[in-house]
Amino acid sequence: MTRYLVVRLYSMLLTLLGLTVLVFLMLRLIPGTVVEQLIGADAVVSPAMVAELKRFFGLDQPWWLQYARWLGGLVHGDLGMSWRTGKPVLALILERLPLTIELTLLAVAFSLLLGIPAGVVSAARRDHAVDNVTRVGALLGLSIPVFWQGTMLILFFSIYLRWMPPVVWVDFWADPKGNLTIMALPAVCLGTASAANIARTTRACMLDVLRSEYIRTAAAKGLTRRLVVLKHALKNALIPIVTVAGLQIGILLGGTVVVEEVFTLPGVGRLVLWSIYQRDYPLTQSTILFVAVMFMTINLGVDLLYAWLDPRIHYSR
Amino acid sequence: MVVVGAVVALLIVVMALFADRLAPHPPDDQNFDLIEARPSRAALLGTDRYGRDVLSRVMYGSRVSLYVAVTSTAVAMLVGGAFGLTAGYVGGAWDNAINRVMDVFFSIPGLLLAVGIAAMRGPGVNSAVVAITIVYLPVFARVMRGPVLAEREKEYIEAVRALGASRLVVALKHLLPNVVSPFVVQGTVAFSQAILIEASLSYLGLSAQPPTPSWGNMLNEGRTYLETAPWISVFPGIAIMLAVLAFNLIGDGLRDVLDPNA
Amino acid sequence: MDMTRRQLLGTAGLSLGALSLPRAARAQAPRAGGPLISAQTTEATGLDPQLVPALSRSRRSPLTYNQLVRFDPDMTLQPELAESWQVSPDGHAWTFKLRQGVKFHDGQEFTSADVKFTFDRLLEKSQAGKSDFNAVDKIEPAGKYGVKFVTKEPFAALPAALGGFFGFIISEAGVTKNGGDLNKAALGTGPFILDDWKVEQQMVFKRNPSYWKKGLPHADQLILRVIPDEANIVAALRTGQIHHAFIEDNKNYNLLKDEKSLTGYRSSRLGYDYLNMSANRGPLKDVRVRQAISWAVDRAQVMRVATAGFGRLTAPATAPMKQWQLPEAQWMKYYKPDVEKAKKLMAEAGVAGGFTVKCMVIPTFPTMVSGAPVIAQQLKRIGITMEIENVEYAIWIKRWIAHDFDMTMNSTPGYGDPDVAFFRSLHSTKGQNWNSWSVPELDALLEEGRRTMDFKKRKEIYDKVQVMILENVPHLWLYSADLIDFTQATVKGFRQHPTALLYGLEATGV
Repeated sequence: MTRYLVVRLYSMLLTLLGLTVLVFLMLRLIPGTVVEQLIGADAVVSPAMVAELKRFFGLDQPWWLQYARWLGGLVHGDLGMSWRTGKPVLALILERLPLTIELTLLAVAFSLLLGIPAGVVSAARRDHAVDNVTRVGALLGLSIPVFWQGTMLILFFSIYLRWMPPVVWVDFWADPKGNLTIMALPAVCLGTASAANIARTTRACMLDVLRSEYIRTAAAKGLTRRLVVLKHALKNALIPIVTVAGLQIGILLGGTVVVEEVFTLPGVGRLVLWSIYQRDYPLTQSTILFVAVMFMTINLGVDLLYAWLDPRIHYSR
Repeated sequence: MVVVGAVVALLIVVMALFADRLAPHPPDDQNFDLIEARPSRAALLGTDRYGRDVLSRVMYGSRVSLYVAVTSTAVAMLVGGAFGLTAGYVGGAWDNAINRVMDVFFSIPGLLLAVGIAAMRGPGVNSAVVAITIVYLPVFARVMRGPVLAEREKEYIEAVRALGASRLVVALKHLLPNVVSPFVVQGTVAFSQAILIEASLSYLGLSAQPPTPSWGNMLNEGRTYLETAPWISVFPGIAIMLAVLAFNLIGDGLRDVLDPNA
Repeated sequence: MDMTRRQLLGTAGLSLGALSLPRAARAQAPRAGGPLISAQTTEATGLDPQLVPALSRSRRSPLTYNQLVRFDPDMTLQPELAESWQVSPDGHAWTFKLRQGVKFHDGQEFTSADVKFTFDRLLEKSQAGKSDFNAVDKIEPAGKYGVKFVTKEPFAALPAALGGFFGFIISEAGVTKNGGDLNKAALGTGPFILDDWKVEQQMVFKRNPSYWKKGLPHADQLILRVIPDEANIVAALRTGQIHHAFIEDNKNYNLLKDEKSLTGYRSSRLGYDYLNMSANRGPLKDVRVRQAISWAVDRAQVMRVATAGFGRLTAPATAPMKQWQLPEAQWMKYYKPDVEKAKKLMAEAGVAGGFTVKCMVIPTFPTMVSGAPVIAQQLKRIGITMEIENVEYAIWIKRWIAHDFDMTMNSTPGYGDPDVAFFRSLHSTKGQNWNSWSVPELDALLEEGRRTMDFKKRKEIYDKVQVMILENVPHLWLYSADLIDFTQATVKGFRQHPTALLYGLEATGV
């Protein structure tokens, strides 16, 4: 186990190193720099001023030197300073991270709470009306664009119900109720596709298990159907469901970038987009790296959890 | 269900191919006597702020969606598949190197990667193609590599090799047909998701640029008219959903036929 | 004590009467209190009042800084940190008498040294700001409370420039304290003190207790929120979550104007939207082609789509520049679409068959995005294919500075004085000449206008300038969108400003 972990962590490091090169080079390939952003439209610009600004941001140095500086900082745990805000990148990320994590977790909770029961009922009542409704619903859930769902929900609530969540973001710890009212719609939108995925997986796994020998035995022993389904079948189907759910966390983390844009929530996803438009290289580079570390850690966690749940798995690639 | 999906999908493809003949108006034809008009006989799905016909724009919009989805999925399948086949079959250093590179792309959530790439390349349909291709390429490489790894150990492959067939011939003629099913199933899933991702990118202003209509950018334009003219954003949304649903249904059907174990 | 029926009726009548008073009368008595929450869609890119030319910066500057003089909402100049001013007989020097007892946020007294420091720094460092003050040679303190601007030539527009976007007075201590960087901090003499700034979220200001305008500001605390999606701003106004918002998308006026709990403000803007053309590119070199474009474009339609009808067509000098206005009949005749005339001009220029041009649009500027397709459709009628190029802001600026475009949609916050308005953008050698053109007679007139102190003579000159511009079409003045603000009905004392600068918030109370 330890050896497996060491190998995984080592490969994570290599991947991250590759990512630093990739992100760094891609950013340098975009036309326009922070200098044009700062100068603005109505400006009269002398080459001297441009040169001075370039020097200020170190953009006059060869790219490999810029890269080495960034990497050197990273090794010492320094994510750098944001050019546009003058604040440390880490502080900016930490300021926005709680929102993104909360959004992801709420979406996961929503998708589990909706997906698992739906899948179980669907499997237990196979080919009944409930099953058909669930299956079609799940397919719709997979097909609906997040942003459209968001727009439609806003339309419905604000115009037909004359209700609108607070438009200004409040922190969970400062005002839990206000915070959750804001987060409810985004979390539902974000979690819909995952709920559909989980429902489909749950249904498939449950059907598999329900077909198996020992469930039939249990049923033959005269246990109630409800007990058989919930206690015996669901328990056994849970391993793949947990795995799928775990993988969803990572996917949802990526989905936050769109949901945050649609609902204009100040999270990490919007920070990345904003920084790209502002050509704030240090901010983009380090934030993407940060998200990658989170993402890979989640996936590693899911693998470990899976191994723990199912001891038959081998620790090999 | 599959039949329904296939019919809808076919209709959408026809709509895209013959938009210029089927649409009642050119997509950017402005009519200042009919601005933000609700659906009526003159404009079945209503008009937008320039008096452009929403129905015609939805029809033309399907072109962008399908073009991006087809191109990106196809390129990702071809290139990703080739990488996966090489990695799985040749193994060794190749496998290692390809895997390492793929890992880098796997290290960022897919949607964030797509949005990031498109934002960096600057807005445009081709940015969407590049972004979605890059997101899918490693996925296809992996879906190809796994079965190839399992398959190449099998006796019949050894036998063909022993008969003196070149590695390329073995890979393409004998290995590939036996591992292609899950790959194709993954392809249809990816295709429907590509439509969704393109729509998201369009919506964020990163794919097709106005005045070229795409479902996503129509939604974005319509968003500020939700209260006064909801039809501008409702219908492109329905179009996206129908298209994705149709291809999902086909994917489900294909999976049942080709890959019953999945 | 029991209230009699009559007393009850009386008080009810009274309060109804108060409600129906005209707005100005009601707005007279804002009370102290706070916080006052104001929202807008765009964040400031930086706060340096000299180095950041963006309007998002200029709008916020009056909150923390003052100018020597400032334009009233009716665009007449009023004393601010300067109490009075006069020009020397030869026109080469302007002397300002400064207000005494004014304090910066750090407690230091405002003196002539600060004025000198401000404009020395501006002339040295700010390429953008410098062009407002090109004619200024040097700034000399005249005692502690007097300052003299010596100019290279008579410069009639100096007071107007001082009341412009680059006239905000800073202090040396403020610059040193912040390590030379005023982008994230603000230390001025203005009504509010910057307390906290979370980028893309909000700026928090507290009341400046020793503000030199007695009794101002009314609000104890001012919060400027950034809500990027204007639909959310509309919702926030309706649900009472914010007190004031500046509406950028004019069609939203329709959504809010009938809300009982809100007060709407709508007035003419100093700024305008225009279509820039590079007069050194292909067929655009020929003035007849540019004239043809002008005749082919139906500005009223463009305005209707881009502003939902809440705007007006405008002469080169916009409506708030009242004293510089041309009679409407004189400019409106250039704006009457005439496709036949346009086609004839195209034929005379030898391009009857039409041609293709590219027009840049920044996707994040709604009026540019919405106006461009209308123009494209209209130009099609005379054979011109206008391809719309969506160009991200950073790249747009790069190309704008390099004069690398055929056409671009554009928008400006406007200028208070015709010299500031026209010299920089249209003088072919001494200005920026964004249109890459050259009309020597116009250059001569612009220089004469700059040197002329007498208002009547200046007015004659700029009347000629405007007509010359309309004839030669360096760019198309499309329309001037109305300025729209909403406040909660309980908010008192707010006044709009034609520049869209937030001057009005110092006298606003909740």
